[in-house]
Formats: sequence, C-alpha cells, structure tokens
Amino acid sequence: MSHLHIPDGIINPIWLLIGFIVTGLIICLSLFMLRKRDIQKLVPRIGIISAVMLLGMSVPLPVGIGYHLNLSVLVGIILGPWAGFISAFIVNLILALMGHGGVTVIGLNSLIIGSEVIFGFLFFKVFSRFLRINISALITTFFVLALSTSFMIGIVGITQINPAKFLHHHEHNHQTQLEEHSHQVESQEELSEISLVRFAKIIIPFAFIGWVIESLVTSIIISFVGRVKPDLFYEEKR
Amino acid sequence: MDLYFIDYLASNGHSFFHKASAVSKMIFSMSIIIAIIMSNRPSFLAFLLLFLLLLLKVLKQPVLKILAMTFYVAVFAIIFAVSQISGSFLWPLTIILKAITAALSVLIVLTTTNYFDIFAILARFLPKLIADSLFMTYRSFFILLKELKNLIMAVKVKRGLSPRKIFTNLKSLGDILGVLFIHAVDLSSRSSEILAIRGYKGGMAKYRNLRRFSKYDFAPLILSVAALLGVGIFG
Repeated sequence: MSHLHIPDGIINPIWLLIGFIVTGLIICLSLFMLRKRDIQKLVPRIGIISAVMLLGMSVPLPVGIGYHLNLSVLVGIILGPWAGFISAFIVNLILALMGHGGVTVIGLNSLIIGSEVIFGFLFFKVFSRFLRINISALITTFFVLALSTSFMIGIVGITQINPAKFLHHHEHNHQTQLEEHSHQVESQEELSEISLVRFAKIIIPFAFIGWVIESLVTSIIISFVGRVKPDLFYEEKR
Repeated sequence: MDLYFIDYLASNGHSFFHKASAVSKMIFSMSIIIAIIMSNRPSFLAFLLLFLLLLLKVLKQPVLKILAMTFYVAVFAIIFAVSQISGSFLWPLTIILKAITAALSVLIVLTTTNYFDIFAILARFLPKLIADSLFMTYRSFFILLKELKNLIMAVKVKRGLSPRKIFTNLKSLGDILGVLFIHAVDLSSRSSEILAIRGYKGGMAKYRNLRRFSKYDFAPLILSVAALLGVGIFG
C-alpha cells in the first residue's frame, strides 16, 4: 500500500535522478557492509526471501481491490537492514519490469520500501527487548508502515506533482502580462496545496486498513516462525 | 501478479518481436517511456496506447489479459488522478493514460523476451551480488509459487478460507505464509550447500551472450524512432 504507484512521466526527472543516486549510494553502502559475509549463503538467502516478498505481494487480500501484503518489515527483521535493502531493490526492479509501477520511479520506490526494511529491523530490535516477538512485530509493522506512507506523501509533496504545472505548461504561450503571471503563480501554489492535502486524505484511510492488515498478518507469521524456528529472528543480532 | 503467465508468453511466442534481440526491445520500451515523459497531450498518449494495443494484436498476444495486468498501476493512477482534479479533467486523464501506456510498453518487452536475455543485460550493469540474487529470486519464485498454491489448496480443503470470515482468512493467510517462509529458509540453506559444492564465488548471472542484431531488430528500432519523432512533432 505504501508503494509509490505514480506512473512514469509525472515526477520531475531531477527527482527521479536523485532517487536513483540515493538508492545507488545506499546499495553501495549495503554491499560494503556485507563484504565479509559468505556470498554462498547470502545470495540464496536474499534471492529466496525476495521471492517470498514477491509472492506476498501477489496474494490479493480479501478486503477490497488493490490490497496486497508487502512483507517488507518481515524481510527487514529476517535479513537485516543491508541485505534487506538489496532485497527491496530487487523486488522493485522485478515489479517495474512487470508493469507494476513505473520504471523511472524504481529509485524512489526502493527508498520507500527500503525505509520499511531498515526501520522495521531497528524498531523490532528495540521492541523485542521488552515485548513478546508477535506484539513487537505488530507494533513495529504498524508504525513503520505509517512512517513509510508519510514518507511517500512527503515525496509527492516535495516533487511538486501538481496540475498547476501542467496547466501552466499549456497556458504559458498565451501569457503576456506580468500581472497575470504573478496571479497564476499564486493560484498554482493554492492548487498544489489543495491537491497534496486531497491526495493525503484519499491515501491515508486506504493505507490505514493496509497497515492494520499487514501488522496482523506479519504478527501471525512472526508468531508461527518464532515457534518453529525461534533462532531465525536473532540471526542479524549476533 | 502473473509472472508465470508472462514467462509462458515469452517462451512460447513466435512473432517477429519474440525473434528480435532484447537490446532492441529495451530500446523500444525506453523510447516509449521517454515519449510518455515528454508528452502532456492526452490525445497523443491515447494514440500511443491504441498503437501498443494494436501491436499486441499483431504479435498475437492476449491483448485483454495483458491489459488487465496494468490493473494495479491503473487503480493507483486513478486514486492519484482523483486527488489532482481541479476543474479540468485533462490532467487526471493524462495521468491515467501515462500510467497504463508505460506499463504496457514494459509488458510488451517482458511478454516477448526470455528472462535470461533481460537478466543478461541487467547483469552487465548490476553488482554480482545483486545480479545473482535477482536470478535466484526469479527462479525460486516459481518453486515457491507452486508450494503456495498447494498450501492454499490444503487450507481451502480444511475450510480455513471462506469469503465471509475476514479474520479467519487473515489468520489462515498468516499461517500459510509462515509455513512458506520456513520452507523458503530451508530452500535457501539447501541452495547455499549446492553453491558451496559447485565452488560458487559469485558471478552466477553470466547467463548467455547477448543475441546479435538481426533483421527482426529493425521493427522495434523503427518503432522507437517513430515514437520519438511522434512526440517531437505531435506530443
């Protein structure tokens, strides 16, 4: 639900480039942090856990259209922040290749899903010191998804996707007087504000249902896996 | 997601696009996306969309099924478009057209190209660890998908999934994914043992050499030039 499902051609190319650069830097940092890990174990682990993440996304939830699990927090808990971020990038790359999100927003999308992975790992690490793992997973998933959705809305705001830009593009040729231009700039700012608030108002109620569902399911998975393979969650911590 | 179906279409088609190299088809897709980025004219975007649908028909691909794969993108584009309505409906319409057309252009490439060829190109730009993990993800997806289907079937037989019981469904789904997760971890342990036996040191994703250019590459390349010229003149 927190994917940036904004199509190609809407976001200013500068922001797309920034998204790719920041993602590239985090990937470089991740590869550096993972340099001492056994590649024979790491590659299958990242690959197969990413496949589970993709499968989680392919199961439609029985609560309405467009809902699916992300399992990004779970991936963060299992793989840790560095391998988890690489996993998020791989999943986004495959999703984009399948037309499930824009190719040009892979960088920004990886940052959003990657933030879920990284914060999921960190929050779970803190909460699981005081609480049972299923409760920790529930709280972690809810907060992390709320955070990443805010991040996504923030990106929409920062990248200034607004109809005013489009309208300006078409009306610019007919614009001759300075007064008219300044009036238009004011109305653009107004439109931009309105559209972002409206966007948030539409997204948040939908997203809230998604946060609750994902939190519950992640908690159930963690509870199940914790009973069968209790050492799995603490692999990164050792 | 229909990765299985996409893979089937890519492996079993015999159109001129299937015979073209992955490089020329990726150039085609990138050109269409560049045209989409550059154009803000709904009429041009609608023309581009119709053209891609027609191309699918010519390639003897299941047009409606492939169009249906753009469902998720379309849903979120509609949500985004609704939030952007401010008098004129042109901008929301443009957003939706851009979303579907871009997704369709990528799907045309994916449904006519073997994933080995696509990964062969990606592996040249990606670090070894990521390229190999990408390959592993793709292969294990199908193994785990089969397992997921069997698990869902088993739970359905035991009435663990029923349309009216949302919480029971979520509990069952959590358990299914939990089992799948344990199996996935076991699978990754087995795979790492196999890699160790084979002396793997990274660089699994060498795949095959890129296919050389042939007469079949003219079509995607000419269409790429046409898309870019089209957006320059009409977009």
